Amino acid sequence: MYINSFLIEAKRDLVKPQSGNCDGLVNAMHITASVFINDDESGLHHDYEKWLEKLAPHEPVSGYRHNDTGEDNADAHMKRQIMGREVVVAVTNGQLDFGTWEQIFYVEFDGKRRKKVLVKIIGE
Amino acid sequence: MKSYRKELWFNISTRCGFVNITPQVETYLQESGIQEGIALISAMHITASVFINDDESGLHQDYEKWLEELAPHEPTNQYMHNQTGEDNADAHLKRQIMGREVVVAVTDGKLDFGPWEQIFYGEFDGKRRKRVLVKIIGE
Repeated sequence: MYINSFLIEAKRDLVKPQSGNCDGLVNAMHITASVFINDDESGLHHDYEKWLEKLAPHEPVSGYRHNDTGEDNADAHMKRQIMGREVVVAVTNGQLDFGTWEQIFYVEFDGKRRKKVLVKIIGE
Repeated sequence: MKSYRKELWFNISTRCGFVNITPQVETYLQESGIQEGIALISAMHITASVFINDDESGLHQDYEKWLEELAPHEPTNQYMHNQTGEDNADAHLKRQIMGREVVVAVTDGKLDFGPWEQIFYGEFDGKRRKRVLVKIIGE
């Protein structure tokens, strides 16, 4: 299984208590991964994987021009464009300003190596 | 730095629908008094979108048809998520294509748009009360 997703715990201590209002940017720093917001339900994650594989299949690897470079991850570039690069979250009174079910996810489409996500919060 | 926050509420009578929310966002921007900054407009639900595109009804029909092809509502039992008792797995997928939020530059007290940019709320699992967050920061 080459897609993994895990929950980013946006810890309260990342945002100082006295910072009332600001915005936070959370983005994947790689072009074959995504940061997105949706439901923390494992059935849905399975549906996403299956659906993305249908829209941008990994194989045949030779089906993608990008893979002529020697890479085999063209599908990962495409999958990430569907799921998105980043989310921008409002921070209000020091808390993530979410609806009831919103949760932030990192999703990997070309794993098995060290990768990173950027969290940038601006405001006061 | 100023900060302004408001919610927009919807209750779309159909499963899917698009609403042009640009006038409301412009009103909120005026209320905020912010001249230079950024406006975040995001859906607070995981089966809805906020996106920017053309205010042309034919295109909206095209989007609905295309999204339905890419992530069909039925059969609902094709989705593992729907085993939870929900029937909206397709709405979670559709919204990922259309996006959760837009971030718009604010310049001289106005939304800094190209000629045809309009902000839309996109509903994919309607018939209930749902909301959009408008958060503007700047000076």
